Amino acid sequence: MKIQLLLTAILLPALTLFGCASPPTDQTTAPTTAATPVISPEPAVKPQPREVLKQMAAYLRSLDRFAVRVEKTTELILPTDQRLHADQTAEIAIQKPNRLRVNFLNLSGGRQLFYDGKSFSLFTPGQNVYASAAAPATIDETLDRLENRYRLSLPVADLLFADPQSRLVQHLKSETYVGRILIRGVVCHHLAFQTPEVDWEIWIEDGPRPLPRRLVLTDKSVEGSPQMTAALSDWNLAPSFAADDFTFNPPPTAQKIQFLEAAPAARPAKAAQ
Amino acid sequence: MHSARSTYLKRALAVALILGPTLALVSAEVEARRGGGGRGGGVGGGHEIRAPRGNVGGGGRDINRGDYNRRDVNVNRDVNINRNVDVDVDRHWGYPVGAGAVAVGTAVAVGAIVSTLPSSCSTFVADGVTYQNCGGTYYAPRYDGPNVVYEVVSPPSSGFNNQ
Repeated sequence: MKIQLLLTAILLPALTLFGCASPPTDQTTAPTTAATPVISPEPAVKPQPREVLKQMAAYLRSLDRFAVRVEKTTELILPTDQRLHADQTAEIAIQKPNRLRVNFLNLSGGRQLFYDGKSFSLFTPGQNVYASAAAPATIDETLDRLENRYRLSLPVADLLFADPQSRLVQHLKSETYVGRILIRGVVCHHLAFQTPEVDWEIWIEDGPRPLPRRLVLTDKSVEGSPQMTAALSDWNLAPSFAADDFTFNPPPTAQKIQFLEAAPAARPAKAAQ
Repeated sequence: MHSARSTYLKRALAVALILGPTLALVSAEVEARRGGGGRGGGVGGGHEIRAPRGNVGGGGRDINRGDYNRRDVNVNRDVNINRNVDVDVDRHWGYPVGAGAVAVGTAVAVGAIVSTLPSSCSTFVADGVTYQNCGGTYYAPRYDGPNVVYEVVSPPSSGFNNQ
């Protein structure tokens, strides 16, 4: 009885918390109402976690363009050991093999990242500053360079590479098929994996569109094992893009500034290739 | 071997489902009591904020990072402690994380990075670059990862004051 009360006390605020965002209905998913029971027959054979992961990776790889919204919560452990949960929202648009646009949303105007196959630009409208630099020919190489040289990392970057599978199945020391569950009204496979440094879970849509819907990772390599949770929503698999979605045309008043690049010692040795 | 393990996992999961929320509370408390700074003796010292390393700058190479050792290399700028923590929060309310907490000293060396400017600066343009002149110290805006910061630079040789 007491436990039940305690659970209710914990769950209720949590539900309210999730409810406060009330995300826009996914364009491609039928809206579910509380009154409609969801019944999805269990698969006859228990799926293999790695197979489900591979199907997702193959499906992502088969898409030539997509747009998705990522809502990420990163746990920060303060020197006092208090944990804060820092939120970030990003809208990601990809047109393979060499167009990428990310809008980071915040309350001071956000940031926009453009990549058009030749150069990339970062624009902060609130401060009216931007910086540009030459970029490699593919999204994959650009993601690497952004991360290593400019310390610009994208949420769920692992899922944005052309071949996500090669990144996801590295160093796995355990894999678990947990089951199926509803994530924001979408039936998902819930998988759990372990690498030496990271425990991670992923929820993948069950059905003809095996899209990642949520990612949780626990970083065991950092004291206190902070977690990151990313929800992927508003998947659009047939977005229409304009040229200036990916090519940055600076406003006339915007000021061009420089990047503080990572120290040379911190650069990857293979950067010269 | 595999089946034995999965049975165990199933049992463990059932237990976790029941005790999960309670355990989470307990372990949070334990963690809070453990006292901080166990590892914080290195560069950057006790000010270190721990975040998942793959996500420090916004959530990049989440799962498999081929570049483990590069992450924390550049911590050695104590004027800007949490430079890699990319937190999109309105910091005017004393949010204890991020570059906003940095105080700017009176004498700042050229090359120092600060996240906020001292009060009462004037804009100074030279060669198309906009500087901030704050009591004779010149600052140029830079991107430090995704954040706009200011680098202390040598006074530009020529230019004009905007205000």
